[in-house]
Amino acid sequence: MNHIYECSILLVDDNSQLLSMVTHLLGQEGYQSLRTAGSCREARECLAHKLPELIILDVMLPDGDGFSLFQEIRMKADIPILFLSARDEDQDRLLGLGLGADDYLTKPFLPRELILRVNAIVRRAYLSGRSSLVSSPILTLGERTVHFDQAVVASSAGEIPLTAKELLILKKLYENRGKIVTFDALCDAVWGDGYYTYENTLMVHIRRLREKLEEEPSHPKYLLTARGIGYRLI
Amino acid sequence: MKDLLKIYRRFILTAATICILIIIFNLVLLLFFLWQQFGYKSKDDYASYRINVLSSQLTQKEGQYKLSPEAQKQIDAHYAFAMLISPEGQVVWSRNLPPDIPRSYSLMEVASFTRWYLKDYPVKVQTRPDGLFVAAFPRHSLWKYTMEFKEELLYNLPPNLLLLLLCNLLLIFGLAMLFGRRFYASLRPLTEGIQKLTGEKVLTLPQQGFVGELAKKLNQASAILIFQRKALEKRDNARTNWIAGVSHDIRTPLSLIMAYGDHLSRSPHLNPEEQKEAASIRENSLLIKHLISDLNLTSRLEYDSYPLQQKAYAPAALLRSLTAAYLNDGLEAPWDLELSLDPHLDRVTLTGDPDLLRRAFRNLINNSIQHNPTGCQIRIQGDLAVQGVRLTFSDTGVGIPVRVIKALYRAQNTEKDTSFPHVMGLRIVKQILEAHGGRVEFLLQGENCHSVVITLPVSRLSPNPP
Repeated sequence: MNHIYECSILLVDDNSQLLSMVTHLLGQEGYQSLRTAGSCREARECLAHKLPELIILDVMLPDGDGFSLFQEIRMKADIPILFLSARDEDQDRLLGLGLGADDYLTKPFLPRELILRVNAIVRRAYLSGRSSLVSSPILTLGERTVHFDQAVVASSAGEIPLTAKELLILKKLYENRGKIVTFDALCDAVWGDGYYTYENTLMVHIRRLREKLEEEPSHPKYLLTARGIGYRLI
Repeated sequence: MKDLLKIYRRFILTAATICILIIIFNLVLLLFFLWQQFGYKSKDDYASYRINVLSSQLTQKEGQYKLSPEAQKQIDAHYAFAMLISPEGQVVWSRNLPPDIPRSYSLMEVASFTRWYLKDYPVKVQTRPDGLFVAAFPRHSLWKYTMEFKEELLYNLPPNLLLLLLCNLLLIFGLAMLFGRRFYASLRPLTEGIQKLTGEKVLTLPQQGFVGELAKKLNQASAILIFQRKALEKRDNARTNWIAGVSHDIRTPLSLIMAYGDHLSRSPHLNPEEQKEAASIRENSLLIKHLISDLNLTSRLEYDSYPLQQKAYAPAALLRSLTAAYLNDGLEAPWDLELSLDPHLDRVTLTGDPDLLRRAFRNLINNSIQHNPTGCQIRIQGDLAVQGVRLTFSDTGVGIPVRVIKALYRAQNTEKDTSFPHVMGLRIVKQILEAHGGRVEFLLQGENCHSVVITLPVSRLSPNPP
């Protein structure tokens, strides 16, 4: 698969209008190979004919439940499955995800959300080898470049090594680039523990990171503080 | 069980008191009887029993015995007969002497009757210088018995009587204990039954014994309670399930409305005004989605059918993550969200359902955003107070009207009152906090509330840092 839109998708839902709407949405997005099934029986027939690369599955079907069908499918093939259900109780969501579903979206949903989730699943399942951090572990911040695989910050002045902890902090911030990452999430990612114990240590690491990443560490441009909440990598 | 022991102690004490009172009563009665028998007598009656008085009334004058008229009257009234026996054993004087009574007596005969009976007549004797005065009561009127006791026995009588009394008291106390214990044993299943009355199972107390009737009633009461509880649960479940079912059925058509509304809002075939209308359909569908979700949650919280996913969480981390989520989702001017945390709060770990609490906090923040479309400053403050963790959500906007807060509290009591404004969001906040043992306070500033204070009880503090 060269592109996510080459992915063949099977939609299973007993509401024909919803099937037509979702087909329309995915079609508009660019997915071309779309099939629909209104019941478990129809879904089995589709699967017997040809295995899809993604299944969007409703939980409540006229001749069975989606969870059982999910298990049946997974016995045969490891196809990514997204549950699209009107059942929004935590137990149902946990059951679906616990069974191994790739995602669980409750109705009613925003069309864009469904598209983004489908795209994410397909990308993760079939095109993950080309994803950002793994394929290009380089972060450019102005004049400086961070090489994650070598754990160094390169600039015209030379290379400055990053410590293991600094690298972990930077990776976490990079994965959520543009977003605030709370102190707690950072401490959890680096030390696997709460912020209270590592408050000062985290501050020290951030200061050192700024010294390595920023032109003017006292007036950071890339590694910003969200006061009282966390840090953000621009 | 403590109450039962108290009853048991009181029972023994009461039983012992009753017995002591009975002994005292009997003693008083005995004394009264004795006084009646021997103390309370008229002078005449008294004299009739005093043989020496009668004897002294018999005088000898010129060889003739003469009894005073008073003594004669006494003998006629109270005695069968009287006689005087000379030292030689001959009857020398008599009054009303029956013919079957001998007129002379041997020493042995005298020795025999003086103590007991003379021909079945109970007699009393009085020695005189000239003989033996004998007065006999009518047959079957007096029971005579000669008592003999060892002196030692009489000498030890007071301590022995005391010992007897003590033994009696001990016996009474012992019996009271024994019966009390039996009483206690029969009551115990009843008290255990009362304690189990609020349990899940129907009581099956044994219906024998003297508390059998009570046990039977208790079993019946338990069965009625269980039946009513089940009926109530059934009704609550039916209501929750009905709401869940309806909201489930609404979800699929709402998905279509949202999707098509969204599609139309972007359609190049529609003019901007129509696109705006379509966007409004999408936004309102989204609102309905949240309302359905709130309705489901509030009904489940109301009937305790929402299982809390209890786990340890740090409230400071929760607030930071919540604030970060809003800022990361693009909350910006005209709204300003600020978080201010007491450094001590980082030490606190609470137990609860953080996802549910996050939802409650989101409801408060969303209220500030939704009701202040022109923007406002929203501030979240977290402190460690004596009562627990205190979280204050305040804004500089229009605030929550007093009538909404009043409706929030009224809604719990009068569910059928539909006149109150929409308070579901705040109601969920209150329900979630109450499910966590917490408290929600609405601080009024004039007619509106600008600060909602949440207090969560502290379970434990994190240890000091290494």
